[in-house]
Amino acid sequence: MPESVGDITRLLHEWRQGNPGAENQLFDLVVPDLRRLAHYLMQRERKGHSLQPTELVDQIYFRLVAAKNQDWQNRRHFFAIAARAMRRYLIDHARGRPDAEFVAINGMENFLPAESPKVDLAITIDRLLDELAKTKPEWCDLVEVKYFLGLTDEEAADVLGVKLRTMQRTWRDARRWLFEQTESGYGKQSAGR
Amino acid sequence: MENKAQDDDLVMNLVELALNQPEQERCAYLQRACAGETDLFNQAWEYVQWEARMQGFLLEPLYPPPLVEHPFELGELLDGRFRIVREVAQGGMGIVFEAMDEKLDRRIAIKCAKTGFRKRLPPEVRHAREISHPNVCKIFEIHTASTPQGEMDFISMEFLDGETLTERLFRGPLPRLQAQEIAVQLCAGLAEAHRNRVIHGDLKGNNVILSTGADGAMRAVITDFGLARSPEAAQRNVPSGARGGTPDYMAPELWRGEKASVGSDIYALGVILYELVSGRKPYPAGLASEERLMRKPPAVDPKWDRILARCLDPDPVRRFSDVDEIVQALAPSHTRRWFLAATAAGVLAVASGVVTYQRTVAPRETVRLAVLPFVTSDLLPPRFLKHQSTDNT
Repeated sequence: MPESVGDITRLLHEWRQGNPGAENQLFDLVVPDLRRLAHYLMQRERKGHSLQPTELVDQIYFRLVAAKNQDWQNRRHFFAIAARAMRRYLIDHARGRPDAEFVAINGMENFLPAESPKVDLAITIDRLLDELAKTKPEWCDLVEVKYFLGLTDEEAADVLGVKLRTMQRTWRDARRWLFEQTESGYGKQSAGR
Repeated sequence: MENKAQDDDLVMNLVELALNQPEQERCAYLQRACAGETDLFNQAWEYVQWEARMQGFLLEPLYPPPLVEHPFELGELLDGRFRIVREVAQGGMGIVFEAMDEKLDRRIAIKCAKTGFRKRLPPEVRHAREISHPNVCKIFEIHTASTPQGEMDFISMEFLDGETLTERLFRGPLPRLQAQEIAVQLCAGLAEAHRNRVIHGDLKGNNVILSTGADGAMRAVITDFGLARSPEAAQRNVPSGARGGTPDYMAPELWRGEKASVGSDIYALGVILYELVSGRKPYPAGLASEERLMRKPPAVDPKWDRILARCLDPDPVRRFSDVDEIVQALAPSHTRRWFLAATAAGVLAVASGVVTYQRTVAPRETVRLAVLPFVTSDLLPPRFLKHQSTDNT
């Protein structure tokens, strides 16, 4: 398991260049912190203040990567890997077989009750994203930061390094593609609600 | 690449504006806005149709982030000196609180972004702080509060008791004299800001507060200078079509995605002046920009129509080049009346002297006859009226 800052930045670059091994190694690094992220996201009832996902990911990034290596590009890569890890984490929960790495979080079942339309949709989206990653990796990244990490439009544009309107257009395109793929199934679920 | 970004800007702007319309009006709206540009229409219309069909599909994140609208709590002490008293108003992106500055023991207003929006203020606010004018809400300082969400900027500014112009107009049209007075004050405030190189960018009835000055006279104050530069700040979980700015006050070039400028501020001022004089907006809500290009707003008042037309010209080049020009255009009647008022006052002074001197021989009617022609105008400044009435008794 990599321990130095150099390893993380190297892994981020390798991952963006398509090295699948790098992703798993990065997950090992990110996952313990994502537990904290997920935990925070669960605590919606706390009064007054709440950390938003973007701040949490920033915090994790700044903690993991020493200041001298905090270049802009790496931060973007880091958000992408965090969103990917979040997706994997949530989907594992949704499928009812959380990774042993994760400690169960109280209240998770309220958010993602087994066999709910929401969970079915999440699993479908996850599967479709695997397809999308092959042809339109930038769409896949965007869906991950929007749907799985819950960033605002502005935050998503920022961490993906694109203009807001361009991001919004891509987001509409990606949603439409996913909608078309899931339309029949999604429609049935909607009708059942 | 640049073209692609511009194209995205244009198409997404149109889509947002169209989605702000009632569903059955969106197609016609887009057709008007695209003014025969079929390709543009087709692109935007396809997005609009899909958006309606998808019904918010995937807009809600799987794991919804906390929704906290209030970054500060009542009673909270910010920066060791500002005690939050109550929430005064909420806009699309910001919240205004009444607060006590415990250090200076004075009532102030605090404005900050809603959670989910930018925590850093646009740099223009720093310039806006330089503006010191009775018709511009005074920004005292820009501060940063430490919150568990991280650092968050907020503004301390003058607290204004009163209502917004929009609220006031909702209750009915303004007396002409008051409308004139507000127009003059708004021009003065905006001109001063422009002299300081600060563009408002989101001038509208809701950004004008009708308050009372220290002398008890009506005081129109423009707020939110320099804050408009983050119109694209995203709102969490709200379909983007539900945002879309303030189209009624948007100059046609802004609809095309151009940046706010002195010209677009003048257009927005024109809309406000039109509302002041007529009690209604120059164009019905939701009228497409293309139709605004074709149609002239209905005439409202011969004294104002030329001025309004030059503020609301679709071509920014043909608008007044600065607010001072509007002041001057307002001036012929205004100055003339001041001149007449001054003359009348002079006549009065002389006449009253004459009256005093020849009290027994000169009938009072002579004075009245000398004065009356000058005081019939409804545009006469109130100070003169007061002066006149006291002198006349």
